[in-house]
Amino acid sequence: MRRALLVGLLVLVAACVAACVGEEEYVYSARRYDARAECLDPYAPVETVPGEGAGSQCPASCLTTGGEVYVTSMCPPLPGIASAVPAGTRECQAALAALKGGRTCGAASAERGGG
Amino acid sequence: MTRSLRRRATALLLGFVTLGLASSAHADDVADEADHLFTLGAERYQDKDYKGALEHFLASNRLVRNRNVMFNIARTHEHLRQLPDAYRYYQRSLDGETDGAVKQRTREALSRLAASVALLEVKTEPAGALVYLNRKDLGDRGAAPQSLALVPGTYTVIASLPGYDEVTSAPIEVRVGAEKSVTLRLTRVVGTVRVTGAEGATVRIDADDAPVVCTAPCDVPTPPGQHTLVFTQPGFRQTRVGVHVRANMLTPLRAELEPETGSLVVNADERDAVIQIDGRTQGFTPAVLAVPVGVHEVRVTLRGFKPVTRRVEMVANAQTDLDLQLVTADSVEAASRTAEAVEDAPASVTLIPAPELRAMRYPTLAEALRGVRGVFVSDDRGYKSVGFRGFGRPGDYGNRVLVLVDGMPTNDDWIWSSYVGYDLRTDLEDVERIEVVRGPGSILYGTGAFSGVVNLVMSGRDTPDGREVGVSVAEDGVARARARITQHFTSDSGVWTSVAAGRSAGRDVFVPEYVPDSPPSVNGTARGVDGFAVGTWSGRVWWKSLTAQWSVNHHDKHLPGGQFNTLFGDGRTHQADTRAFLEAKLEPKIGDQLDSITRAYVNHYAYRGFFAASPADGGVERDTFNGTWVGAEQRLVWKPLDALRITVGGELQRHLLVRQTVSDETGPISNDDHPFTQGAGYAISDITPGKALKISAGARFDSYSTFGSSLNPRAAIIVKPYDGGNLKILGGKAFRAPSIYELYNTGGGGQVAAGSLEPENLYSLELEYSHRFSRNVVGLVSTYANYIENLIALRDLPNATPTVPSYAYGNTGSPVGTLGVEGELRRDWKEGWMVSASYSFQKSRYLRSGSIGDFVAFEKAPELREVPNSPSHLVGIKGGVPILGRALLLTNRISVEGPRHDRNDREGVGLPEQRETPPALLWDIVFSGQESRWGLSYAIGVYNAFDARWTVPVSAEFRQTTMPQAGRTLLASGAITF
Repeated sequence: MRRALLVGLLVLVAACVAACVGEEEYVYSARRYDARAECLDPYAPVETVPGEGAGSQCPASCLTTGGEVYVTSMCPPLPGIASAVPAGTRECQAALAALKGGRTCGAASAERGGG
Repeated sequence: MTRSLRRRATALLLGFVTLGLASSAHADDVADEADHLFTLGAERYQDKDYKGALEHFLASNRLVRNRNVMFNIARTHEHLRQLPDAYRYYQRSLDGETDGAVKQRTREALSRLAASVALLEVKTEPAGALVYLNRKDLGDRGAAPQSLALVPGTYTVIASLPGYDEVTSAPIEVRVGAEKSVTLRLTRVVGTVRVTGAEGATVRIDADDAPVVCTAPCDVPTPPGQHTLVFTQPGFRQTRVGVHVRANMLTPLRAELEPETGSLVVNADERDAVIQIDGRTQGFTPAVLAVPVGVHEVRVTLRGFKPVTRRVEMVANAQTDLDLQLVTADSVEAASRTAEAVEDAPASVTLIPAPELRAMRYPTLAEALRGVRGVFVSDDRGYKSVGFRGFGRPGDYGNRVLVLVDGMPTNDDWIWSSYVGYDLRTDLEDVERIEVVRGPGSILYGTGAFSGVVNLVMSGRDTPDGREVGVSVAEDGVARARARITQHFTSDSGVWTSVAAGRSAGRDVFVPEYVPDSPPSVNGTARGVDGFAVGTWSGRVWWKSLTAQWSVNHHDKHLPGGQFNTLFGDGRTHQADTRAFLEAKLEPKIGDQLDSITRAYVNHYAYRGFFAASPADGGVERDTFNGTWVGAEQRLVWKPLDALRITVGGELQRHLLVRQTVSDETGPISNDDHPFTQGAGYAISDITPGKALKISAGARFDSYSTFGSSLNPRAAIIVKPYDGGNLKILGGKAFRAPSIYELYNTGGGGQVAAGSLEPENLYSLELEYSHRFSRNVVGLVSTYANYIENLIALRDLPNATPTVPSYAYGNTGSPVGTLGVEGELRRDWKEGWMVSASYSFQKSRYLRSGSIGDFVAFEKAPELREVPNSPSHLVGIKGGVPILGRALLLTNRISVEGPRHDRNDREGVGLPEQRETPPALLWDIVFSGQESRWGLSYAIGVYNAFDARWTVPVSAEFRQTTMPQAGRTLLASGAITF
C-alpha cells in the first residue's frame, strides 16, 4: 500500500513537472528613423513580445516608442511599450521613404574567425 | 443328528448316494421345515409323483441349499425329461463335492445328458460374474465360468459383477448335442483423477508401497469411492492427498509437494547484493534462505561488482554457509572491444563504476566526466562537450571524442558531434558503468575516436526482473520522470526498456556584451530562453547469442547565448536534435578457439535549428539536417594458442541520406544531399607470452568516398615487473574524417563550402605505470605526448570584410602538440567507502612546424597564441562514506578547473587580446541511500556548493568569448523498484 502511494506520488510529481510550461517571448526589432539625417538606423531590438512571433516579412509599418519613430517589417503585435503610427502621417511617410530609398545611417559589424 | 440320519436313509432309499447331509448348522425352524419338505419330496419321488417331488425338493433347497438335495432335483428333472434343468442341477451338486464315488456318479449323469441338451460354456473376465440368460429378472444361472445346459434356441448371456459394467453377449444359438462357448469381458467401473502440479512426482493409490500408476501430471483411473493418492519425488516430502472418486467422472486434483530444504546462509562483504538461485531472485545479502535439497547454482550480483557464481549442494535440514567477497568490476570493453582487465587494456582507462553513478546521481554524462583525470567539460548553453588531455576546441561539439553505448557509436554524421548532455539521454539511470579511454581509438572505431572514447555500459542480462519509476530534479530547474521494466522470458532471453522525459526552465544568462543593444526588459540578461525538453526511449532485447539494443533521444534546447548573430534573449532561437539507432549483434561461439561477432545497425540523426535574426537578416533562419545510415560489421577473434589472440574484421557503412538545408523567412538558401560510403578493415594481434608481458599491435584502414583513406596503427607493450606493478607503453594514431558540415555546408551568414579537406591526424605516445598497494588501492602515474596535424578550423576567406563575412573550413598549417603528466591514487568502492584523487597537467601548443625538431623543442608558432579551451591543470577528488550503511551514504566530489584561454588565438595588430578564464573550484556533495524493503532509492545534494562563478571559452559563433557555467544547483531524485 505504501509502495503504491509512493508510486502514485512520483507519477503526480512527474505530471506536475510536465505541466510547468513557461511562456515564450521574442524580440521585436525595428529601424529607428533619424528625422534630421533622413535615414534609418540598422535593425535594433525594441522590446520583447510574448508569443512565438508572426514573422518578420510583413509590409513595412511605423511605430513609435520613447519619442522615436521606427520602421519595421515585423508582423504585429507590437511591444507593449510601442504604438502604431498610421502610414498617412508625415513622420511615417518620411521613414518609409527612407526605407524605400535605402538610406541607412549605420552598418552592422560581424565577427567571424578564430583559431 | 437324528434328522440327518433319517434324510440319509431316505436318500439311500431312493437309491441315491448321499454323503453327509448338510453339516452346517441350521436354525432349527428353517432346518426343520427344509427337512420336512425333503421328506415329502422323497415320498412323492417314491410314489413316482415327480412333479410333486420336485416341488418339495425345490422348496427344501430354497430354504437350505444342499448339494444332495440338488442331486435329487436333478434326478427328478431327468425323470420329467427336463434335461437342461437336470443337467444344471447335476452341475451344481458337484460344487464342493469331495466324495469320489458321488462325483463319479454325477459325472456319468452329466455325460449321459450331454448328448440330449444344448450346452453353452460361459466364461467371464474376470471370473466370478453372475450369469443371466436373456433377462436378469429371471434370476441368475450361477457364477462364471460354467457350462449351461439349455433347451435348444437362441440366448443372450448377461454377465454382472460388482465394480464392473454389466455386459451382454450377442444372441447365441445353441443346439442339442453341441457345445458353444462365450467369453464376456467386463469393464471395470472407474472414475478419473486428473492430477496437476507436483510435476515429476510418482503417483500411487491408497498405499505407500502400491505400484506406481503414473508420473504427475497425469490422469489416474481409479475405482469409485474414497481414495488416497500418494505422491513421491526425490527432494520433496512424500505427500498424501485424499480424493473422492465418482464413477465415470473426472475429478481434478492439484498436488503441491513441499520440498525438502536446507538453510543456505549467504554472506557478502557488500550488503544488498542480489541473490539468485537457479536464475531466480531469492533475496539480498546477507540472507538465510530455505533452499530445496540438491545441487543449485547461486549467483550474487551487485551493480559495479563482478558477479559471483557458486554451486552448492543442499542437504535436508542442514545449514550450508556461503561467504563471498565481491570484487569491483574493473573490466573494460571499449579499449579492445572485448572485456579485459583495466591493467591489461592497451590504453589509459578510467572507470566510473555503478556505486559512484548511484551515489552521485550524475544528471548527464558530461557531469559524470567532470573530475576524471585529464578530462574537461564545457557548456555553451547549446551543447555540452568534452575535451581530453588539453584539446577540446571551442565549438567543435566534441567531435574529436567518440561516445559509445555498449560499443555502438552515437556521434552524428553531420558534424561528427558527440553528445554528452541531455542530448544523449534524459538520465543515466540505465547505465551500469562508464568507461573512459584516453588516447587514439581509431584502430577500433575509425573516425571520431581521436583524443578519447567514452563508452556507456548499459544494464546487462544480469539485471533482476522488476519495474521502476522515478523522478528527479537537477541542475538549472531540470525536472525528469522515468519508468522502466526488466523482464526475463527464459534464462537466456529477456528485455529491458525505459522511457524518460524531462524539461527545464533553464537559467538566466547575463552577457555584458549585449547590454548596449538588447531590449530594455532584457538589458543583457537572457531570461526564460535557456530551457529545454527531452525524451528518451531505449532498451535491449536478447535471445541466446542475439542482442538488439536501441535508443531514441529527442532534445529541444533554447539558446540564450545569442550565437550566430541571433537576437539576444529571443525565445524563438532553439535547436532540436533527434538521435536514434537500432543495433543487432550476433555473437555465437563457433568453437573453443574462434568467436564471431556480427553487427548490423541503422542510425538516424535529425537536426532542426531555428535562429531568430532581425528582419534585415531574413528573420528566423531554419537549418535542418537529416542523416540516415546503415552498416554492418563482421569480426572474428581467433585464439589458436592461449598466448595469442588475433582479431580481424571489416565494416561497411552507407550514409543513405545526408541532407542539409538552410532557409529563412525570405526563402531557401541552400539545400544539398551528399550520400557517402565508408568501409574499413582491421587486424589486431594480442600476444601474451607470460603473465608478465602482453604485446598488442594492429592497424585499421578506413576508406571514405568523401575524402579518401586513412591508416591508423596502434601498438602497446604491457609489462608486469612484479605482482601489483603494471607498466604500459602505448603508441598509436587516430584520425577524424572531415565532416559533411565542414565539407559542404553553405549556410547563411557567409559560410562557404570547403569542398575538399584532409582528415585530422593525431599521433600519441604514452607511458603509464600503476602500482597496486592492496586489493583495492591503486596508484598511477602517466606521461604522454600528442601531436595533431591537419587540424580543421574555420578561417576567414580573403574576400571577407567586416560587414560581409566569408569563411570556410580548412586544414591549418600549424600542428598542435600536447605534453602531459597525470597522477592518480584510488581506493575502489568497497562497502560504501571510496576515495580517489587525481591531478593532470597538460600543455598544448601550436607548433612552429610539423618537423620532429619543433615538436621535440615544443617550438611555438609565432603567428598564434595559446591553444584555446585547454586547461593546464585539472584536479579531481572524490570520496564516499557510509553513514548508515546503504541507507545513507555521503559522497563528495571536488574538481578544480584550471584557467583556459579564449578563442582569440591569432597574433596580429588590432586583434583582440587573448584572455584566460579564472580557475574554479567546484564542490559537489550528495547524500544518497536505498531502502531495500520498499525498493526505494534516493539522492539529494548540491552541485557546485561554493557557487563558484566560472566560465568556459566559446567559439566565434558568439559575440562574447566565454559562457558562464552552472552555479550552485540542487539535485534530488527518488525511485521505486517493484
